[in-house]
Amino acid sequence: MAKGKIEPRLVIVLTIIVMCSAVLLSFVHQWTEPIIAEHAASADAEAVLAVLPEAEETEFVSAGDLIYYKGFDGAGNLIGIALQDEGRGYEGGIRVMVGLDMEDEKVLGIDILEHSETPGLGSRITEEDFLDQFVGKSFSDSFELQNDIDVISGATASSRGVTEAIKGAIDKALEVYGGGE
Amino acid sequence: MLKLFKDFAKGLWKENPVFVMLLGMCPVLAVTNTATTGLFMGVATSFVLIGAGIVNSLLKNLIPAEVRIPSFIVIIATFVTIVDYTSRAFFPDIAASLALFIPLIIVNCLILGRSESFASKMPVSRAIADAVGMGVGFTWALTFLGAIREILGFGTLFRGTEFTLQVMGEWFEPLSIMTLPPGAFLTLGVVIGVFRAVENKSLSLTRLFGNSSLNTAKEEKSI
Amino acid sequence: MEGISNLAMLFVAAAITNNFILTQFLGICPFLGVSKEVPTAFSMGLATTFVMTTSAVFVWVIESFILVPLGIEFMRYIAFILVISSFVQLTELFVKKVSPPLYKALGIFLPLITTNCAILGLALMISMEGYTFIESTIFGLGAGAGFTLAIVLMAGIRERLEFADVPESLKGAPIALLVAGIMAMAFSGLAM
Repeated sequence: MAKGKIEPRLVIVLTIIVMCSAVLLSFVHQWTEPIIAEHAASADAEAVLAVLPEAEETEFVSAGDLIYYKGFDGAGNLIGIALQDEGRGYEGGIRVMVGLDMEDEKVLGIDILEHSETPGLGSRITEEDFLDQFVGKSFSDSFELQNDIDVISGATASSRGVTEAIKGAIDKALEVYGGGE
Repeated sequence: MLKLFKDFAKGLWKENPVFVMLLGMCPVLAVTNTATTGLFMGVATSFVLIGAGIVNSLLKNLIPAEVRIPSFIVIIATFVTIVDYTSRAFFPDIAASLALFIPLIIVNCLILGRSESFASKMPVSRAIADAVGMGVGFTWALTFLGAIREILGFGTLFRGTEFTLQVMGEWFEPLSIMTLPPGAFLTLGVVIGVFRAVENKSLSLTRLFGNSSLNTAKEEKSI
Repeated sequence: MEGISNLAMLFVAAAITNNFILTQFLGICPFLGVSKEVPTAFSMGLATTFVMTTSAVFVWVIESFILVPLGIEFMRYIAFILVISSFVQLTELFVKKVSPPLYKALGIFLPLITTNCAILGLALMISMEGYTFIESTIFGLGAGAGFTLAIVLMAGIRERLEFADVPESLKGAPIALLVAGIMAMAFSGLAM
């Protein structure tokens, strides 16, 4: 690497290279950004339908700070709501979409939107065996790891992250629906 | 032509970046828990290797020696950013499972090593042959390690794709340690050991380490 | 109070349970390359810790005051790697001035800190996790401490291995990897 006195020529060469790559990357960025955003949006829409299995139509609701989706069946009856929350896993945040039946106070479905857990270990939180245990749980259950929730062996932190996110989503939903709607 | 073929072929076995030169160990250990991630990582790394090799070989007379390495790093980082955005756009699932390790291709010593020791001295054609050979060598090594760990750890091959194969029968109890960090270290240690044993047998006259693996892998010497 | 205990947790997680080398595979090259003798390994650990902590601080500054406000996140990788290589260069000059014998011992591994994925990995995690300034610093320190711990432990074991009867084909890197596998088991035991 460069040692001793710095010649302007060196700085110029390096600057030119950085400028070229900046221009190139801004094109790549513009080209891929909409596709990546589309993936995220369609992943969201799919996730809403996945966590509200009986829903046929969804409606986007933004109430104050809270953003959620309402799910209706074919006849237009409200089945439940779907909303996101985040828990802290082993490597970072775990974003979870949770479907909730506010009338019976039950969990309808869970979908992991985003995580960066260790592949093959913490990443097993996305497997159905793990997620299915949350379906049908009542809001009043303890959600305690080991007792109430089966933990993925070797991935306690990841399992806790998901559980936290679900509890967080329930709390947020209860705040909105707390007064009854 | 023969020279080009030699440049290409050495990366496959004799100077295999993973098993002989021990370059780019981080992704080798981190993303080989399944054959799928290993293969994808190998292809992504090869793309950067070839792209950076071409550009660095073309620019070799324009870049002053003093800023060669910083310039190479910037060029490599540019290619990696391209790979990062395109893989997130077109292969979102695999990209998500590789997470951090796509940007970390920037600091894969294999790429900087080949750019510095080969591409920056050779004409473009030889640089391409070398990069393709190294890329293929890196890719097969990662896929191979991934396959071993996936078969023992999950009982499958190429999980998470349409081509998933169930290799082991119902009786098989997956050894989840193979998918965990210890499994990565143990598998690689054993595979390199076996690789060397095979090499020793076939080159029993040549002394161990006697082959030409010393030109780039300075680290290798002190290992 | 809670703030402090959170920071302590972050430090311990970065150093032990999420140890960069043994659980996240970041920084394997120096881990295998500079772990033959304890004193050299320790110096390497300190040099890496220094670069990690200072880069953590600067990466945070660049992320929060340049990349995000200007909306040029696509320049993130290039910016980070340039910051890191400048710091490595500074460390190199510093070590050369202060302790020429140490400079000799670390040899080619000092410039190689640039291509140590632990440091770029740290920088990327800071930007992904959205850590605050203090959290970033602590995270950098913890990761450096964990790196030093793992590399020194490894060097201690390898000093002993010199006297062991290792099969010819396993000498060098393979046996080191097998040892690392056993160490990784011990460290993942701590994470549960």
